[in-house]
Amino acid sequence: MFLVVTLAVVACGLIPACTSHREPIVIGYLGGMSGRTTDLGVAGRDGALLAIEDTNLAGGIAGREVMLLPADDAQDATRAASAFRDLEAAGALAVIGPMTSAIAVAVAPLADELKVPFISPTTSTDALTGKADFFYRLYPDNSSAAHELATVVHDSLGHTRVAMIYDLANSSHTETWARNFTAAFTDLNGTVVASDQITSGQLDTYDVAITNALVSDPQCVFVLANALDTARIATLMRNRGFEGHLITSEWSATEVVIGYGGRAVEGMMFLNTFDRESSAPAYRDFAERFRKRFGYEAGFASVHAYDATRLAVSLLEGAQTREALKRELDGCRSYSAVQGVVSIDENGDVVRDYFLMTILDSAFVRAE
Amino acid sequence: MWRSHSFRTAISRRLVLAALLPLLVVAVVSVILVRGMLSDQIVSSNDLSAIALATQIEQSLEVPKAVVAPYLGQSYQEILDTEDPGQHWRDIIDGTPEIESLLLLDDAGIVQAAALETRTGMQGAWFVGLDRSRDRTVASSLATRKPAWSDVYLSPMTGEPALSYVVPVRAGVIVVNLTLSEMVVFDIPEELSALPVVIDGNGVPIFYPDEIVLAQRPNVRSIAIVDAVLSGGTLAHGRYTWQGTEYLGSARVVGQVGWVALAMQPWKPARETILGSQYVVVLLIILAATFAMTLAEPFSKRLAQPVSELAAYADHVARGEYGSAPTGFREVELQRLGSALHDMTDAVKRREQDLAASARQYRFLVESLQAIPWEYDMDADRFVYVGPQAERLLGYAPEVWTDLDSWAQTLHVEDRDAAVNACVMATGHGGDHNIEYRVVRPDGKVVWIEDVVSVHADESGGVRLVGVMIDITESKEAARLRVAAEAADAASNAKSSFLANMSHELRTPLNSILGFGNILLSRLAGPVNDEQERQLGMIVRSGNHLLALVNDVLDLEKIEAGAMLVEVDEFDIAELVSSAAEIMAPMAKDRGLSLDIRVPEAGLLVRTDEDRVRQVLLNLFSNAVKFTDTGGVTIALDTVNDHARITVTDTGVGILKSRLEEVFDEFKSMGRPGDNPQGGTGLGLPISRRLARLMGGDVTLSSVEGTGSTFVFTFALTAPSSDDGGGAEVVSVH
Repeated sequence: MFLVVTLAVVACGLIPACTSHREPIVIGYLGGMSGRTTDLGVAGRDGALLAIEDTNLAGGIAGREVMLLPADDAQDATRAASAFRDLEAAGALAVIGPMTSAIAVAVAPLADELKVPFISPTTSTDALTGKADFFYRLYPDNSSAAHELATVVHDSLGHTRVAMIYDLANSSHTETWARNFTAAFTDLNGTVVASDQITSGQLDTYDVAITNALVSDPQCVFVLANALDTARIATLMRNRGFEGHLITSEWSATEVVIGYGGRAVEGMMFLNTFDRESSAPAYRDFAERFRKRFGYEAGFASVHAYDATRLAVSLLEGAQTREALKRELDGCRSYSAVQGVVSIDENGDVVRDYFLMTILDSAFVRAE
Repeated sequence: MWRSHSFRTAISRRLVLAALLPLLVVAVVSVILVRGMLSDQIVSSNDLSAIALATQIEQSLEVPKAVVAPYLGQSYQEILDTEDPGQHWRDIIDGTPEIESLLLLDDAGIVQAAALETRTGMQGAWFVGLDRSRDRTVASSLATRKPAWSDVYLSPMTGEPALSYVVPVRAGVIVVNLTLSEMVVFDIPEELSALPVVIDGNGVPIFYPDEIVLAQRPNVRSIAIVDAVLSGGTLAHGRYTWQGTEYLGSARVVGQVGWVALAMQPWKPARETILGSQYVVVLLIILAATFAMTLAEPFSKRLAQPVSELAAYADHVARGEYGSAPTGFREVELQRLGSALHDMTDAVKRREQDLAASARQYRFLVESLQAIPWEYDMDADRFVYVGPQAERLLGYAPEVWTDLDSWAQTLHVEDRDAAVNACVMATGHGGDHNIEYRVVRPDGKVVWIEDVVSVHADESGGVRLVGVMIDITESKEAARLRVAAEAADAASNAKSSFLANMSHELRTPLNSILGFGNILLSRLAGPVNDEQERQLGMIVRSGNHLLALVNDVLDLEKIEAGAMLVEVDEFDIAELVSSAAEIMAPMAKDRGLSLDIRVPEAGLLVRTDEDRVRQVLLNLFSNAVKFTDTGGVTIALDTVNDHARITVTDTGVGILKSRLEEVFDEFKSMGRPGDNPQGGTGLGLPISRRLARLMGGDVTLSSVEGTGSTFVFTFALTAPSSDDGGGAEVVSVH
């Protein structure tokens, strides 16, 4: 008998314990993570990742683990569609993304076709308004942002002559922006004295644009380009002796601008859709954890991706289907974000506060 | 747990146990060791892999240093003067996949020259003039004048993860931007089979074999060993679960950049290998166990056989069959056991014999008692034992007495209550006691019993009566007889005393009568006429007769009363016969009778009472003469059977045969004086016979009427001694 018991004990020790797993809930992420400009895509992915990790730490969705499936759109419409199909095939109940308007315009119809809620944290294009049932935009549209910026430039900074330089490489974003800003600024009795395009990477177009801008004697130059280009343009502008205000957009305001712009970008201003200096505990906690987790400061892309993912997760608590999620999203009039409650107006547009930021001593700070 | 089982089974079990215990220990140790050894093997393999990985990264990190090495002693200006970044540097960069771009900065951090990988499509000139002084790594190096590594960042040129190495030159710094993916191309030896993972200082993988996992940017810091290294350790290894899979991993710090090189192997294959080895061990143990159990059976059988034999022998002994113990065992212990059993058997046998003898003696003793031992359990009211003598002495089988009542029923009705009460009382007082009662035998005879009873307490506290019934009927009878004898003795003594007194009282007046009669006849008192003389003669004759009669009666009574003593003298009977005959000779002569005396010339010495012999002889002789008218008397002496025999034969009248015995009857002789014409008291023959018998002989008579009589007087040559032996010379008759 002793023998039997011992053998049983030995055998028990050798047999691995079985653990039962329920399939995790999959949430997709679509963003540009390869190609020249990956900062938005990577930052958004990291924000979404942190949201998923937080969710899983809190017990998942209805007790089920959640998994983020990141997909690279490579900022290419074809690759983005393919990636989106892959995510749908992988069972994603929602796809967080994209981070850029061009991809949103390209993929939103596919989301409708596949009936996968597609929640974009950072796209601002209003080209899809009323066209794509499964596409949700948690970022203010261009026109409102442009209007806000125009107001700040005109009213707060007191400028009436503004020159614009924008990048054609992201024309779906920049051209709309330029148009909306021009309209808004003109409405405020301001004048857009120059509006020049550059093509990223083509240095000669920079010189032309800068020359044109400076010739128009602007009080302020609004640069709508990626961070490196913005740094370069700022440097060139300052080298040419321009001493007026430099304005840029939120998506250029990364550490690259400071790292490559140096003194040239000191005092550059931009509108932020979140308050970097917020003392909201949820935000401070998020920002701290994000820095520890990924080693860099959370920008707007990370913050909004985090919020968008949290929203999707919270709406999936009831029923874990795409249809249910869509119903929830359609009925959603506000949601909790790290910097407070974000409301959604009757048009489905988020209503956000804007914060005027500047670069002071190599840091992004609120412009007083 | 173990029930009763045979010795053989016990041996089997212990053999198996003895075989299996070490095996089990070996098994457990092996199982643990196998696990430990394989784990250790994997751990050390992982360690090697992690170190190799870290070393490769370190080597990659040496690449930018090698590139900038030639310029370290120069100022940015000198470099600008001698170098052609547009061509030479681009060649260097294109020949060095790790390097994405090279920037030469002045002391203010302004880009003075730059070269980029051709694939970026960018010109170095595009960067000239940019202010990089606000870049944290550049600022750090400018401030400290020491080389510095940046964190991993996304390259604005390529969009890929990148890393910068900033090294100060004599004046200014050189920034080497590196493409991370090109730096972490690893050549892990096949046999190590560990997954290489590189983790940056934040715990985010910068290299992971699985692109999908890499894209998910998992927080590898959640792995304890990674955290341990990131928190300052150099090398850590351990087992952990990562993304649902168990791994054994080793983490090694990459010192310069604060990364972690992690080599990990899924635990499952290793565990399967371990399990396989463990299963083999367990299988071997089971085989060994089976082998042990198979062998244990015959071994135990062989070992148990002698014990079984010895046990069987002991069984025989227990049944009383004393054979000889099995021998011939090879084992010393069994030899000793056999020998001990043998000795024990002898001892048992001896004791049994002793016991039997003792029991026999005891039984003999008990059963030969004229008494009945018994034991009675008071509490159970039951006779435990009744001696077998009950049957013999009382006629009751011992089984008849079952309880007290059955015993009481055999008692005499008058004694029953007293006996039962005595028993009950004795129990109450706890004392020993004797009781007497009568038992009525089945045949109706009454037996007196003295019951000696003692009270005992048995082991359980119960009361037992133990007793012996003794038949005292005889002693009771003897006592009764003794009382009667004593009464008779008293009467006899009174009679003797009376006779003695009477003898004196009778003889004194008689002697006076005879004395004065003779004085008158002798005319001493005066003249006596004839008539007076005739009457006086009648008084004297009658007086003499009365005196003789009184003497005879007194003798007779003396004999009867046992007061007659035989005084033993030694004398010659022949002489006595002759002298007695002499006395009778004148009388025979007077009556004209012949007297023939035949005695042995040598004489015959006897030891008896001479006076009494003479008294008998004179009586017989006188009778013969008296009752013979013609003829003669013959007296003969001889011996027969130690007796002297005197035969007196006469030729007298003889005696009727029917009256032969009457002559010896004192009352017949005395009762008919008329029948005795010859005078005499008639008591001579009765007295003679009694005296002869007193002396161990007799007087007998044979006679033919008209022809004559023959009296034979016998007595013992030596008078019989008395019973008490007090006076050897005196015989008394009781």
